Amino acid sequence: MEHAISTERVESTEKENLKQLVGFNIGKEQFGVDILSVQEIIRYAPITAVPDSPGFIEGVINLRGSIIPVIDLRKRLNLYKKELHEGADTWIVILQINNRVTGFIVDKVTRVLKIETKTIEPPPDIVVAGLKSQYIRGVCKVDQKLLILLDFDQILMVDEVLELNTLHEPRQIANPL
Amino acid sequence: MIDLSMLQDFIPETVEHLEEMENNLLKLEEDATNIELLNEIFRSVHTIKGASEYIGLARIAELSHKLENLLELLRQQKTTPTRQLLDTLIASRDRIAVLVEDLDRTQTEDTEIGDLLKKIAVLAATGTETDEDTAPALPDEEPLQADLLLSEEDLDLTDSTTIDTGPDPLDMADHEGELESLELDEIDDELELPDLNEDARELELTGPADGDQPLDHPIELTDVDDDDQELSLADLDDDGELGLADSPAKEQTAEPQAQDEGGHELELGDLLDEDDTGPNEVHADDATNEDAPLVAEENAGDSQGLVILAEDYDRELFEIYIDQLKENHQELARLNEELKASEDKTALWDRCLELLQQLKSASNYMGYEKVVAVYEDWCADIFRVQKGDLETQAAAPEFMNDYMHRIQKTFPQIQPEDEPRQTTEADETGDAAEIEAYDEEHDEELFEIFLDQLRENFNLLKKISEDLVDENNKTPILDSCLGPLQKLKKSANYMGYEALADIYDRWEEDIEQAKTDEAGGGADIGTDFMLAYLREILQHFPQIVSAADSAFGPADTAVQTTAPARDDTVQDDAPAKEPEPPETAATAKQIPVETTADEAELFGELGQAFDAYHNGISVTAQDENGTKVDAQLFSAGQDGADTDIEDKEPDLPDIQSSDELGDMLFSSESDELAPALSAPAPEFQQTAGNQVAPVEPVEAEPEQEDAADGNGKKTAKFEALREKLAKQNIRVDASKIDALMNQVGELVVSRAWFSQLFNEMRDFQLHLKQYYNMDKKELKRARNLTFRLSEATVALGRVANDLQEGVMKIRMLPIAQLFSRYPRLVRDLVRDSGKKVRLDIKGEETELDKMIIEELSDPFIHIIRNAMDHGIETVGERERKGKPATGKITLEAYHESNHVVIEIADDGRGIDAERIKLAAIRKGFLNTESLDRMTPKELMGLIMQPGFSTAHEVTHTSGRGVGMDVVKKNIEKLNGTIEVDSKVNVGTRFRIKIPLTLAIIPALLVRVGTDLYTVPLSAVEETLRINNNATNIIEGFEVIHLRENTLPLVRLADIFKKQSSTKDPDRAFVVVVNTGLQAVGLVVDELIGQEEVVIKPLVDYLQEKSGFSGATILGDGRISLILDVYKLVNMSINRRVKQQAQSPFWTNMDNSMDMLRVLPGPQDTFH
Repeated sequence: MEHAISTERVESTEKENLKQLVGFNIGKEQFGVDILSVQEIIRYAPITAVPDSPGFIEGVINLRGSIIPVIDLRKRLNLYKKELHEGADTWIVILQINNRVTGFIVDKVTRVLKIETKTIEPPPDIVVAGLKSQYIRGVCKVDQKLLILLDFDQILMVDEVLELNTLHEPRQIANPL
Repeated sequence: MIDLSMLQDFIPETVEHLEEMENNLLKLEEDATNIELLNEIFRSVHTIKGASEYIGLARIAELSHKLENLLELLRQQKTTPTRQLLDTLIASRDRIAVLVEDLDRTQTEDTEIGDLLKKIAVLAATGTETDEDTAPALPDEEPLQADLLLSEEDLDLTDSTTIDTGPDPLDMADHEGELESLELDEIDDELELPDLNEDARELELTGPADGDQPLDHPIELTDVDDDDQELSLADLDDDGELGLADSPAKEQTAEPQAQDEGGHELELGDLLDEDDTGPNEVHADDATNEDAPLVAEENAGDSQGLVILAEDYDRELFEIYIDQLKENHQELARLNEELKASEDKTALWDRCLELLQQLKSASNYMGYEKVVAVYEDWCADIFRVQKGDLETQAAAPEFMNDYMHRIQKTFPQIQPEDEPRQTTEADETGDAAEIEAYDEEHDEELFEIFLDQLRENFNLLKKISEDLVDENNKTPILDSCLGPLQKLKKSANYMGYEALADIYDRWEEDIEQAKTDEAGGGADIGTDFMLAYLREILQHFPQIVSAADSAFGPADTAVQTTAPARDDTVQDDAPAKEPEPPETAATAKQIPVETTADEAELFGELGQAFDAYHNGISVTAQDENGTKVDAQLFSAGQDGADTDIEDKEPDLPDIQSSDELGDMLFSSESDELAPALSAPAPEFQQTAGNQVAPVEPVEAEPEQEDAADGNGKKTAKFEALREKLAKQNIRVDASKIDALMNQVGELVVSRAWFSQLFNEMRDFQLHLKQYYNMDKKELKRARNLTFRLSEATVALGRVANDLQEGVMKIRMLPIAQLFSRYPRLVRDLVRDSGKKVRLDIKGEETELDKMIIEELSDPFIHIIRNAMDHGIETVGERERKGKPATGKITLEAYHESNHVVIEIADDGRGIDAERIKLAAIRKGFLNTESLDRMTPKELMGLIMQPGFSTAHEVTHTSGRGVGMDVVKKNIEKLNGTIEVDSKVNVGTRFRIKIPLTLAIIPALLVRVGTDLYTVPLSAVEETLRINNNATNIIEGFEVIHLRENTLPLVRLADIFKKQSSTKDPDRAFVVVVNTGLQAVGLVVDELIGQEEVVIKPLVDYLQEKSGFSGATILGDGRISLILDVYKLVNMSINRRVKQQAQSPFWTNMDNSMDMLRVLPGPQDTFH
């Protein structure tokens, strides 16, 4: 009994100490997202554009009968333009954020990473890889390279998205009555 | 504190009951005398009360309890359904609804009910006072009512006036409350006049004693309706009669001295409350005479009441009731035994009480008010024994027996039916067989389970109550009772036997009471009340028990002997007092005779029961009854022998011969009976020949009619119940159905996918043929495969269609759910306005998606309000116009292909187009020219503009100009359309067209650029093909001329920022869509076709303000966005407007649709 409990405890502490991330690339930068928020990763799906939507919203896809919006992460994060030779070979990471299922287009999904929680550092004040720090949850070193943990809550700030949306709509003319 | 899971059931159920109650209340307003309605309402209230008490919702229980009291008064016609009273009833209903809402939100009852309770109390009090006025000769209404009972009996007695009825009128009135509706319904009619006179005489005699009663009594009565016994006690105290009658036990002890009439006293005491003993003892001789007819009367009341009631209730229910009665009765008999032996009687008494409570509520549920009254008396007696006079317990069993007998008497019809079951009661197979044998409609399985459970728990309780006797610390045991009790209650609830549940409720309450009693160190708490309950049930179900046959002795003899005498009396009195003496006499004759018949049946049944059930308990009980009660009775009375039981049994065959009902009932048992009957038969026949036979012809007929009638009604009820059983509902989380619906949507999509595959397969076949030059033989396999694929696709399609339909139907509810909300609304509005309005509802069976129904509720309220406030004229105005004074609002629903159309029409003053124009100009909506150009329909449409109202003043119901726009918005949200049609002074009609369901809609697929878009077909008016050069530009809007009108065009490619790609650049496809007021042409590249599409929501931030109401998945898996036409057009125009926003004209516009409207006509200039 005791043994079992102790193992459990070890495991749980291990869990606390370790974070599993799904790593992906946009351009040459390495990014990571907590594996628990990843619902699935798909290679290709035809994307239907939604007219009048914010530019970074690529459109919607049919994910086994559910219609899921897809955001081009590159556009959303205002990262540098895609280089032509990188081709159309994209991945869509389907994340569950705030009860919304959303797809994010990334260049390539690499692997699942296990990193120790303590190695994660808060985002630096300076801009990393041309990325505003509000979208960064933290950074850590993996294989001598910097991995950026993205804060998708911020990326998918709905208020912000909606705000963007309304920009497309003219202000209602007030009725003097 | 409150069991949440139970609350979950309670809330919807109560809401249903409240709805039903509201409906009935509204009907009651129309038809105040309809006793059926009252009963329905009563039932609703009662159920709510029971459930709320069970869960522990003090306020709802309290309020519903008071409501019950008030309704009871109504039922007895002690008060009239005045407007004030009905308002209070409705207000109370509303309050309960509010409380339920509270519960839903906070799980507590937050809203106060004190004000309503007061109102009800006042009403109840005034109700009785009002009645007093109807009998000015009497100082108090209650003596009158009580005397109705008494005087019936008095009629038989020449010396009745000498009886000192001092206390009687008062306490009888209490019982009267319960008894009256049953007993007096028919008798009263005939006897009322003489009664009054009798009363007057009596009152003269007793006047001084009663002097102070009338003042406080009515109020007391209504307040303590439930505690009649206590009340009567209190009254007695006032009268100083306390010593004589304050406890039944005393009464019992007094009996021996009273000697002869002891037995009669019991009867009397039971029926009229034991307080009668006082006077009876004083006037011993009179009392003897008096008692007998009284009993007869009572019995007459019983049997008639039963006949009436039996019609109302289905046999099934009755079966159960009887069953319960049987069991309880058995237990009671056993208790009675124990009572005699036991030293510690309190527990037994308590048990008895409990049983009685159960039986009482069961009877209450069945509507046997008379029986309920008896049980109440009984309980009260026990109560008094417990509280008042513990030493006199020794005599108690006798009155117990009396009560039992009386109850058994009240069920003459049923007993024979249950006879077979009695014999097999012990084993369940017998039971099952019995049930099976006798009504196919019965859900045997369910009932079986129920019975099993009942039996099991019942035995458990019995055991517990036995344990209780010799246990000192009773609380834990009492606690242990609660478990089985709750189980019983739940099962009873499940079966819908509210009466049973109610009994259990009370039982539980008693247990709680007992617990507190013990905690308080009070009197000995024992099984008494437990046993009382069991016994009570046994009495309800006399099949179980044989104990009480003898009880019928007194009644029987009394009836037989006094029936003729009675006729005489009536006939004597009648000429003087009744305008139609012969009729009265005839009826009077009938009644006693019928009574006799029923009595006789009863005896027969009891005898059989006895024979069949000569187990230990019943035998001892019998002994007790027979020797003590009967002996007394008989010695006092007419037979003068100890031949108690056998004496009564002989009645049976005789009546059998004359009475159809009797025949029917007894046929099954005659075999059993035969031996018992054979011996005493001659003796009986003698009596029967003398007394019963002469009147038989009179009696037989009505009885037959009754029976036939009852049977017919029963069958109807059966059918209803059967349907009800078959219609068992399941409450399912709506999200589960939504999920299922989603899956079905998927299937529909898959089907389309298969069709697509089939097409591809054909193409492939063609491809093979053309490019590989395959001959037919080589192609055969491919063709076969294609063919089979097509077949499979069709099959799948069929299944998918059915499934889709089925799932859709799950969500469908009759629109009655919606419509039923409005009678109340209309009623409330009418009373504010001084108008007369009738609401007609048609097609309420039309089914509609539940969600849609919910969404429609508010818009309809608004439309109906408008109709009431602006449409229907005042009575005077209508009369001037030559219209019927009562305005009419019609709600009608019907199907129209895939839509449901709901029309709300009134026959009021209609909408004046001129007034709309004026209002439009006044409010600065539009200018005169544009208004002049509008069609009447378009003008009417203006009323749905925000801020638009033609009302000159704002009333509290409407006139603010907010509402119709919301109505329109809500309906458009449902993909519906709304049209207004109105003629001045003829009326207005709103026509609302709504898709059957929200999830799947027929739609038109169009192509713009590379993407396919979906336009809901409900919005599509027509499709056109136009030449691009036929368009004009007016103020930045592209328009075409279409049949004398201008049609603004919206190029979807432009607003979607797509590259248009048409095959023919000169021509364009136009989809004319209706945005509610104005048609707009959407220019698309290609029309693809019509399809059923499954609407899928878009993520919120994409759907909001996007011009799309969702998306759908096409057969090939592609996504097509569904256009929200109204929003889209608005948006595109707004955008256009923005470009021209500097123009001063536009600043006055609040809505782009207005601009569209002013646009038409090339000659139009805007400044």
